[in-house]
Amino acid sequence: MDSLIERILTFIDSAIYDDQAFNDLALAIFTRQYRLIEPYRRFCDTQNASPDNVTDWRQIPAAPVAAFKQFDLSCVPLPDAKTVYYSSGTTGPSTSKHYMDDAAVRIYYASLKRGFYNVSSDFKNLPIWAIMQTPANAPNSSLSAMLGALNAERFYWDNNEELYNDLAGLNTPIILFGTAFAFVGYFDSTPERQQLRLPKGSIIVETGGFKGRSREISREELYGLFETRLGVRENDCYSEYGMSEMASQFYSNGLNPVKYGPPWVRTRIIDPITRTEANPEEKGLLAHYDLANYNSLIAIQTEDMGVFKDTGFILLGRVENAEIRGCSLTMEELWNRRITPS
Amino acid sequence: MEPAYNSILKSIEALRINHHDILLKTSREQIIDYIVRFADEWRNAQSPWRMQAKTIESPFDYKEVFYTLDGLLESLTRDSLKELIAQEITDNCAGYPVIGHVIAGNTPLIAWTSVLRALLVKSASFVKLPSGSASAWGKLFGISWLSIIPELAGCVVMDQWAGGTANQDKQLCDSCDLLLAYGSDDTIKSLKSLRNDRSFIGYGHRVSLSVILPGADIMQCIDGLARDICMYDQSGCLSPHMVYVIGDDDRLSCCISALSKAMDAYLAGNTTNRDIDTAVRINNSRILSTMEGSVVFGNDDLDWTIIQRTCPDFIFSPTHRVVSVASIKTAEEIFSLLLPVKDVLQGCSIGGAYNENDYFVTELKNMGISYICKTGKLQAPPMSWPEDNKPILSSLLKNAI
Repeated sequence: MDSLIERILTFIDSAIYDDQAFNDLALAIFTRQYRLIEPYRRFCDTQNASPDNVTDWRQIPAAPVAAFKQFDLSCVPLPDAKTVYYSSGTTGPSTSKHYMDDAAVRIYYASLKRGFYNVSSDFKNLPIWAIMQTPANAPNSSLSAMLGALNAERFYWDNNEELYNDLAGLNTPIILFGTAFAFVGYFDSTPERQQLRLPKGSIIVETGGFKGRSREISREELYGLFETRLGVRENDCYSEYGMSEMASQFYSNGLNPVKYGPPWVRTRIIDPITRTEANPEEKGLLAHYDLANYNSLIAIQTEDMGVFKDTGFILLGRVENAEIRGCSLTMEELWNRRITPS
Repeated sequence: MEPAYNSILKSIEALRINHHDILLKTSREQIIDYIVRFADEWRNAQSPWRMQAKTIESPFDYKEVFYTLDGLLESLTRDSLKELIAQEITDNCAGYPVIGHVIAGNTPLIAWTSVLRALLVKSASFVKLPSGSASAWGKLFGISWLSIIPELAGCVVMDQWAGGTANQDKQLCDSCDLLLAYGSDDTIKSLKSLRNDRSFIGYGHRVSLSVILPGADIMQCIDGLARDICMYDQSGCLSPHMVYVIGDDDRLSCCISALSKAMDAYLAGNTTNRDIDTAVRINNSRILSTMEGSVVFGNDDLDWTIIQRTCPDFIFSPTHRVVSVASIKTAEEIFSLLLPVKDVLQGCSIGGAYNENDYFVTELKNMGISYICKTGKLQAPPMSWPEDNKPILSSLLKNAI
């Protein structure tokens, strides 16, 4: 099994598109997960899919993302999965749990770093400031863990004034990484301030969206604020799309909505009614196959609608009544606490 | 078209005047006569209103609704209405002058029973119907009432706007004397908050179940059970989410096999054309059930789903004709299984012979189940059904809240 881990890490590190290598690894990971995760095996059996007859990654059954709420999906016994990431919000029946043992964490860190720095050569060597809780304060947040793994220099949480002052004092460019809701919270809490101009070469990465739970602004408006309030133009802004159930992430640049993933992830678009593959131009539910999901499920059927474009996809929105989730929610809870009259 | 803000207020003021000038001067005997006349007209198979009802297609077409309608009409007799009144109110009791009704769109005839009950306590009604085509049956009630009972035409107003439209909702909540709200728990909470401690009755989320007794002839009760589940896409408070089959696994298998065929027959090849959100909910339900070890039966078009559970714990359905079925050894086991959901139970249909005084039936009533009937009758409650176990008429009286 160690050789499988090393093979995955080598493939991630190479960051090359190799369909055969991807397929081989996908089948090996599927075999492991089929054998070790009973609820998943039951599902696969009803689809007549097993390591004995699956020969292509597209045949690997994709379990609904909701399965992460209902089941403990782990190849290793839970006591050995020392790391668990929850979808945002308090734990409960509507919280996803993504269990990782040490090997899975190693692969997760490798994938997020390689994936992040693959987005643009501009990211290299820039210090990262994060608008979110530290990994120590949010040990079950995969987003905080990600920024920790990226060696973010600073974390700002509920201290927008300090953030403003520190940004104002910058002389060299940074990457400023936060949830969309956190950025809106920052802009709303510093309305009287003069506009900043971050040092040339600074980059903004936003993630999480607004999830329909409170104040929402369009991406255009948000990116407009990045330019007017921080001096960072659209081309230097990136959007990260990820989820706690998935080790890897997708990125888009500026207002171009097309999201691109790393070479160790493949995406299919599935007709939501027939659950078969949609025609290439048709929209459908996104199903991701992530080699970095070593301990849980390689194949996840999301509740996000999308359509292929170039070599990526465009997100079209979440299926309604799918539970609201995502990192923006933790900022919202904080914001509501502040705006509720005492 | 959305009503002008002031027209709600004007309508309610007019209703208040008509309550004083017409309803208070009409005897309860006379009101009963009017309701019976209305019911007689609708019971007539050749009635133009029946003909008009047959043109309603979606989301509730006549072929489905007539079943509930006939169940209601059957209960609108002089004797049964007199008995209802005698059980709950005295002749000098006064209902609120104007009752506001906010009607949910998940089943078609809520407005009918709600307004008829208000009339029995001599209250005028302002009815906010659900938006879109779900309002068709409510509108038909209003138009037919106006035509059949012109004497009381000015005592019922039907209107329609999108739920959650703040101005209109507030205007209704501010103006009526009692508000009855039917809908999701969120809708109830929101309207209650707008009412601001004034008289309010909410009918929120409820679920039902079915039980197949040990001696029941499965083939005799299965068509009725399929109807109970399938009607209104299982979205009403009287739609069973769970079916308990008392017996062994063979009996359970027999029931599931028969129920599959019966549900196919009920739908008679008419595909439901699921939208994306519904399809995802149904597919997720199927897959997650499989993952937990249940066996799932269903057709590819997602018209219906039967989940054979290994564990008999009560499971809420995502509706859309997704029903869980489990076997239990004795009827008494049901009571502990229902305890966790006691607060949201509404109805129970029973396959097999039973008497009202049977221990099983009385215990179900003690658990808060408001309507118990034979399989096939769950979606046809009578006028005397105490929804949510709330008194039907006395709760509409001033000083009752």
